[in-house]
Amino acid sequence: MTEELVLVEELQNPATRDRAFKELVRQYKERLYWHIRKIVLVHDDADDVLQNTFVKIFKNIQNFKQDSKLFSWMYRIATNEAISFINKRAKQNNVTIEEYHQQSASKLQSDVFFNGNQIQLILQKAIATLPQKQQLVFNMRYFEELKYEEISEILGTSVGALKASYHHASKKIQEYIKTQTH
Amino acid sequence: MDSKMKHNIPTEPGFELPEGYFDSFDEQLEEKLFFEKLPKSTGFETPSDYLSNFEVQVPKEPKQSKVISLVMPILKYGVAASLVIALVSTAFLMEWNNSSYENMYDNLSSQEVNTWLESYDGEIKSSDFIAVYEDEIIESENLPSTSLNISSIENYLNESSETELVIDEFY
Repeated sequence: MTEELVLVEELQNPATRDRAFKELVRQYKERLYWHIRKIVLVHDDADDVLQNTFVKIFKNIQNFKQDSKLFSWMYRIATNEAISFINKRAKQNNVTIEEYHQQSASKLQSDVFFNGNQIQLILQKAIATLPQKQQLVFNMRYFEELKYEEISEILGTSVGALKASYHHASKKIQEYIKTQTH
Repeated sequence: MDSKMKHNIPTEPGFELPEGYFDSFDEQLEEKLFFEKLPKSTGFETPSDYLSNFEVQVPKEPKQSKVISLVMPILKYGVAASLVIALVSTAFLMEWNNSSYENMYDNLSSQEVNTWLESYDGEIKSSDFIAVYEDEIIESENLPSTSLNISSIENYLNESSETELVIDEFY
């Protein structure tokens, strides 16, 4: 039995659940945090979403049927939580989701927890101009270096569509950076 | 090697290319080189020791208390408001249709309605409906003998996953 299967069994057993959950958090908090942070950009927001993600994982672990890897299932929850967070915030601020992304990226310069150089800042602004799905695909492929098959399992999109999405995203980012740096 | 064998050796290797491969090759190479020059790190930071100190605050029995706090006022005031509307509209209809009920609305003072609402203890009995609607509208034997109280409604809502989802949406 693999380590993941053992962990899932322990998570689904009320007697071992709490201890197994602590282990799950220890193993995955960092990867999930950075995945969420790239979507919401701001540390405090990423912290909120990460908390909500783990609470949702805890509450729904009984329903995890192992149709996908545990990692993919948790990534999917984290992605959905982050997207819902963004959408809710955009609605609260009475702006479109695209405008919200761009506003968040513009604020990075004054964010104490952003220490990127000029090109990293431009790259984040360029990503913010993309449609939400393309942002996700670009972040997962470019920064997190996930395989297309893994992204496909997380987002429920075919590998072919993901490749096309990444290609479109790359083209737009390339054009954006060129216009900003020349 | 005899001439027969020579004849069987293919002159082409048999490899094939995806359609338009060389047309997009330059573009793809340029894109790859462009991103090679870009940083692979984002520049995001966290407060010191944030991740090493990170703990999840899992709420104990989060649904129960939240469901009760939302459902209680909605049900209590919703039911009370419905009964008031029913009382008022029944009286209005009776007055409209039948002169014998002419004085019924007048007799039902706002003070009486208030008194009834104040004495409302969260439990609706079959007799409450009969008192309001009269026998010709609702036959008492058609009504359940058990009374419908708030805790029964809450228990039903808590056990129903569909209503739990609806309540979760509002939460």
